[in-house]
Amino acid sequence: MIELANLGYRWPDTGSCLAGLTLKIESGEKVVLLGANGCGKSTLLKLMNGLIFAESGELRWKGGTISRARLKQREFARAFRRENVLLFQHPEAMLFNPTVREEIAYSLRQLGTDDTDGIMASVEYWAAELGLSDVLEQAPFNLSGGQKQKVALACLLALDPQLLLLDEPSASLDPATVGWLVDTLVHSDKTIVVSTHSLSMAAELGERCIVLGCGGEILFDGPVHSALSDIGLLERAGLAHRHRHRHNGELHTHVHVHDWEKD
Amino acid sequence: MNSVKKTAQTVVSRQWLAARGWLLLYLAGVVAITFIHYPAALAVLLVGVLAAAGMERWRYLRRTVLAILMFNLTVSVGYAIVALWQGVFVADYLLLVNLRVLLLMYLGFWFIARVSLLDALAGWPTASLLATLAISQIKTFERILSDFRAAFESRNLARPRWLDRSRHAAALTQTLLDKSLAASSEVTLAMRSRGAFDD
Amino acid sequence: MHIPDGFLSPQTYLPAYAVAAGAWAWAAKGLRAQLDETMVPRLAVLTALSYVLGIIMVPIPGGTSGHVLGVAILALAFGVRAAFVAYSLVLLLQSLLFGAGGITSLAVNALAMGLIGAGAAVAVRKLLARFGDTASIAIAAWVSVMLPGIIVALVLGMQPLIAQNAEGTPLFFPFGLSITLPAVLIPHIFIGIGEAVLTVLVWRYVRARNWVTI
Repeated sequence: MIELANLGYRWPDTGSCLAGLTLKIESGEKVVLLGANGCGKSTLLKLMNGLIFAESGELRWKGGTISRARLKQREFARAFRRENVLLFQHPEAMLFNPTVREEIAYSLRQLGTDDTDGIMASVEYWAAELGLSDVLEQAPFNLSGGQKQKVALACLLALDPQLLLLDEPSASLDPATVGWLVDTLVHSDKTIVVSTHSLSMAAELGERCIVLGCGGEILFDGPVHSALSDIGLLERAGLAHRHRHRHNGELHTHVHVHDWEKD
Repeated sequence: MNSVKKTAQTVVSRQWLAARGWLLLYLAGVVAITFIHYPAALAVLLVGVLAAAGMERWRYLRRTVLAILMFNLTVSVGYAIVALWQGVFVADYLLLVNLRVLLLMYLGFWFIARVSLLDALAGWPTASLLATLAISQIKTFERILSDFRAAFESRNLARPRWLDRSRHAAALTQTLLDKSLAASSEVTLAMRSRGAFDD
Repeated sequence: MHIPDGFLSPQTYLPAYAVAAGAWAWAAKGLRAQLDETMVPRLAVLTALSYVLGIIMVPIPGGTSGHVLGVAILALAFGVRAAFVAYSLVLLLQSLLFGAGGITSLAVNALAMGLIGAGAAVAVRKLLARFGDTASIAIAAWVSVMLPGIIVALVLGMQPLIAQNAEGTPLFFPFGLSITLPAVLIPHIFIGIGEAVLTVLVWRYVRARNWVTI
C-alpha cells in the first residue's frame, strides 16, 4: 500500500536527518513505529502523509510516486487525502470548526457530495461510536484533551480511510482513554501505523514493529515481541536505560526498560 | 576557583563589549549610509563590505537579493514606467536606491551572522531577559503554527472555502492566545521559584 | 505593510525615533505601574505572540491571503501600552535577530502600527460599543489596519518632497501621494476585512473565556 524507497530527509533547523529509509507496508497491517523522542517518528509520518517531501529516494502510494507536483493535481489530492489520514500528536491543531458536528462533517462535505442527510447520518454514527453524541453541539476547544482526540479521530474515520497514521496518540491521554484507543485500533480493519515510545502500547497494538534509531535510521523491522525482547536493541534506540546502584559498596549497572516486562 | 570565575566574568564582559561595539557600529553605519547619495560611493562601500565579509559573502548576498527582490523590483519598474511617462526618468536614481537597499540589507544579514543580539544586550539585564524569553516563546509558537498549517493541509481534500480558512486562522489565534496566557503564568511562576524576583 | 530599509530619508526616521522614544517611555512607565515585577515575562510572551500573529495568513476577498497585523487583538485583550511595546520589540527582533531589515523604518512602523493602530482599535471599540460587540470589534479591527496604512502611505508619499537632489530627482522612495495612497489603501481595505473577520471570531473566544478585556 505504501512504500518508502531509500528515503532521505534533513531537518532545516538542526541538520540532523532521516537516512536511507526503505520499508513497505501492506494493506491491513498494524505497524508500530518505536523510537525515542526526537528520532524522527513524527517526521516519518508527515512524509508518509505527503505533508513534507523527501530530499532523496521515493515515496510510493499504491504503486505511484507521491510528490509535491502530484499532490497539486486536484483529483489525485482529494483521493489521497481521503485514503491516507494522519492523527496529529496535538489534536487541537486539527480542530477549527465551531461545533463538533461541523468538525466531523467538514471533510465529508469536501468530498463534493450533495447528500446532506448522508453526511449528518455519518457524523452521528461516528459520534456515537466514539462516545461524542452528547457533545455534538459543543465547541471543540471546550473539550478535554481526550475528547478532542476522539473528535479528531472521528473526523478521520468518517472518511473511511485506507491508511490511518497516528502520531503519539497516547501522549496526553489518561490510562482509561489509552485503553479505549488501543481497543479501537486493534479491532479496526484499516492499515494502521502508530508512532509511540510507550512499549506496553506497542505490545498491545502491533504485529509489526519498526524501531528508529536516534540517528534517524531503521534499527529493526520485524515482529513486535522480538523487538521488545531485545534489550540491546531497545538500549541502542534510547528506549531503555542503565540503572546504577551499589551492592555492598560495589557499583552495579544493569539495563532497565520502563513500562514493559518481558514474559 | 575565584580566578576561574574572574576569568569567566572577564571573557563574558569582553564578549558583551565586543557585541555592543559591533551593534553600535552597525547602527552608525546604517545611518551614515542613508546620508550618501552617490551611487559610485555606495558601490565602493558594497565591494568593501563584500570583501570584508569573508567566505560566506556570496551566501549573504544571495539571501539579500532574495529578500529585497520583490519590493525593489516593484518600485524600480514602477518608477521606470511613471518617470518615463512623465519624461523625468533618471537612471542614476535606480542605481542609487537599489545599491543603498542592497548595502543596508547586506549589512543586516552580515551583522546577525556575526553578532549575537543576546550578547549585545548582556549589559542590560532586563532587555537581555526579555529578548531571551521572547525568543524561546517564539520557537514554541512557531512549532504550533507549523503543526496547525500541516494539519489543515492534511484535513483538506479540496480547496477550502474562505470561511474555512478564516475559521482555521481564528482557531490558530485562539490556541496561541491560550498558550501565551498559560506560558506567561508558567514562566512567571518558574522565575519566582528560581528567585528571579527576589532582590 | 512594513517599510524596508533605504526608502525613508534620515529627515523622516531620525525625528520618528525621537517621537517613538518618548512613546516607548510613556508605555513602559504605564506598564510598570500596571504590572509588578512579572511585567518582563508577560511582555516577553506577548512579544512572541505578536511576532507569530504577524505570520498568520488571513484569507481576504478576492481569493488571496494577507498577513494578519494582530494589533487589534492585542490591544483589545491586553491594552494599548502592552500592544505597542510588544509590537515594537517584535520589529526590533525582526531587524536585529531574524535579518528582516527595517531598522531605519522601525520607529515609523512601531508608531503607525503599534501605537496608532492599537489606539485606534481601542478608541473605535469604545466609541461604537453601543452598536454591539460584533460591529464595534469588526470596525475597530478594520480601522486598526486602515489608519496605519494611511500613515505609511503618507510617510512614503512625502519622501520625494522631503528628500530630493538639486535637479528634483527623489533620493528615497520615488512615488508621491497620488500613487502611494491608492496603492497602499486599496489592498488594505481587503486586508482589513480579513482582519476584522478574524478579530471578531477570536473576540468571541476571548469573551467566552472571561479574560480581562477592554
